[in-house]
Amino acid sequence: MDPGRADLSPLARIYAFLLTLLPPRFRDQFADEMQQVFAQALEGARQRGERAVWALMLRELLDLPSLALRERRWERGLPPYLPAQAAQPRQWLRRPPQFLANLALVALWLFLFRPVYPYIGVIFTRQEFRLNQFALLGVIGLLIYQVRRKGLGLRFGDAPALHTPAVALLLLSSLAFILAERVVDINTLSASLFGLAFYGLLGLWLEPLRWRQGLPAALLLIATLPFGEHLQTFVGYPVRLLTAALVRDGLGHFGVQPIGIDTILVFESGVSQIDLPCSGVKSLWTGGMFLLAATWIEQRKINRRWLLVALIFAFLLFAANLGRVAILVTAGPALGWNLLAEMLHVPLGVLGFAAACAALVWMLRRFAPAEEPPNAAETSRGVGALKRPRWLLPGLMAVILLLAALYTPRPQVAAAQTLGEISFEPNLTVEPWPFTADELDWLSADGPLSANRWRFKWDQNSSLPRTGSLLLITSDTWRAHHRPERCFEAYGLSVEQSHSALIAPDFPLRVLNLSAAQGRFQYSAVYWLQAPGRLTDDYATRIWSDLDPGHQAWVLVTVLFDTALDPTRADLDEFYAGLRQSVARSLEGGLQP
Amino acid sequence: MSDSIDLQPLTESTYFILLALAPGVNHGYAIMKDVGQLSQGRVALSTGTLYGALKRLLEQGWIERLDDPAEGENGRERKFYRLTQLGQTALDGEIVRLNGLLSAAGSRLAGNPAALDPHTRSG
Repeated sequence: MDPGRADLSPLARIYAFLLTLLPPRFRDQFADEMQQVFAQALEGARQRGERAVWALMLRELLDLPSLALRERRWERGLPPYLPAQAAQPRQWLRRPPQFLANLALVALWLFLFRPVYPYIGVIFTRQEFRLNQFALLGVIGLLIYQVRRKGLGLRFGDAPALHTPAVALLLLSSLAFILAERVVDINTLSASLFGLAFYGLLGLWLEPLRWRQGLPAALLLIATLPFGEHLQTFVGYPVRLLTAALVRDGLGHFGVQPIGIDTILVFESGVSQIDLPCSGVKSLWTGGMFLLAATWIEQRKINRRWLLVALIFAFLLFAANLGRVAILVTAGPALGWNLLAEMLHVPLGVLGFAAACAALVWMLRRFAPAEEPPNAAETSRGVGALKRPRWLLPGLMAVILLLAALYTPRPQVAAAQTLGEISFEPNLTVEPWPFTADELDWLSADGPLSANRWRFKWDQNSSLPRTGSLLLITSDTWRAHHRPERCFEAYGLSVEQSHSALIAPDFPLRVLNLSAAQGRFQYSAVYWLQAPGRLTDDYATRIWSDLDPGHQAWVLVTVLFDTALDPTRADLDEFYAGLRQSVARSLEGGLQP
Repeated sequence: MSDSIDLQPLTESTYFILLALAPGVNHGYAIMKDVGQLSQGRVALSTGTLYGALKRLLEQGWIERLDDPAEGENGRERKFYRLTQLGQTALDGEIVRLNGLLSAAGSRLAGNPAALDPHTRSG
């Protein structure tokens, strides 16, 4: 620590803070000395009286911003004096045709990515993406901090440059966007490609060195998109399964009584908070963000060594979670100390994550080479070092125009496949239960083909009628099929247990045990996903089915019983089978015999 | 670093800074005080203006920046500044230029010495 900082007066602190306005090189060279001189001048002024102090402060505070402006202009090779510069418009304004051509390229590119904007608006405004919004704020805070610390120092060329990595990033991301929109229709992927293509576009004008240095920051911003959800959906279950198997075998090796994988899975999901990013699969997302931030702050090169460090870091995160689950399972199912396990799960998650991050920082500093500071020749070459062929701008415009012409969203499923005319079995009495305006807004956001809700009464033998609510969501895109577990949680119900049950060889159900009011009320629910000829309770299967060229509409069938019961008991089989037939009849083609 | 001297007239601040360094090495705050005294209070440099000018003079090679072997207060390393030969030449050139201006005025107004006294000229 600088010993001089401890005794800074408030005025000297203000002055020291204002020195951050100066460009970094100037600051590095003179800031300490300027603080000393200011402190001495302040002391001298104090001896002359209060008026002298105010005069000094006024002079210094008025002078510092203009010095900062002058020096920044000087570093950019512009005339340093304000009267002279005021008369000179920026370089790009002095060449209006070039400026307008650049603007046209950017406008065309923005037009190409137009389907992404509503999604980005949703991500950064809707409540369910609060974690991503916080992440974005954090990244913006980090950007501001870094800019204040090191200065922005961006220098742009007049015309687009043949900067190969940037051009490649722009074109490949744009092409991938067209394919992603046509084939997979995953908004987060499209938005990520938008971010990458934007950075590529920026590289056409930005100084190459700065562009390369800013890549981790750009990736960090892109990483604030909801990748955690996708990781959870696509790799969450396999990773949990692997973790449970390793914990079972590991504990068995140490003589702990055999514990089944199912027991571990149920126990682990019971005590874990799914939204906590420091545990399980979500730690891969937050860890990825930490990796990018550390790379950027530490100014490390992204190369093969960096990649190796990243892989080791991913392994450490997995290992930390493995250790956490092993301890929890030992404390819970093995020793019966469930309360201790519940108390430990958050601290263990945080500790494991923090330890992996600390190891990452050490590895980055130890093994990943630092970006070399620009030497004088490199800096002077700057934006002028690259070729700026005349054909580049019209060429890029032509390619983007071609891609825009090729853009086609996924085809919509015909309206005949909606469930408007569903007919239920005679024993099932239903009464429509309309959605509220808010519910309808929320359901409509991701574009389902139809959404219907009923109150039902299943009265097969009159001895024990079953009542509850039935929700059918038809959609040709998986995005409109929200996980029922999340929906129940949004309504204040806790998911106590979730497991698969087979009520027929081709009829799997997801069975949920729910509670409300801190366990005072218990409910049961089941759901499945059904398409013509297909039925599953696995959400990932539903998502992956959207990659199938023979695109189908699916119905998410959710049944919430009014009481807790065993949803797999035999007297309900006919209820489920009847419901399945009703849904199948309403879908085009129905079930294949 | 420039090898030749800029023949443009110096700004008042630059001139007084070079003049403050003419006797020998000086620290930033001492330069600031000297400039105030040499200009009889007319030029009051702020810290920012002083260091902006020092940076430019360093880049031109008119002054050099040296470490003070004795550490400053609070353990901070202090720097001092010294005129280079190029800076000395520039200062000498400016003094010659100013002398030239003054002698031109003196020769033109030789018949009326009072005209050289600003106090008597102001009306």
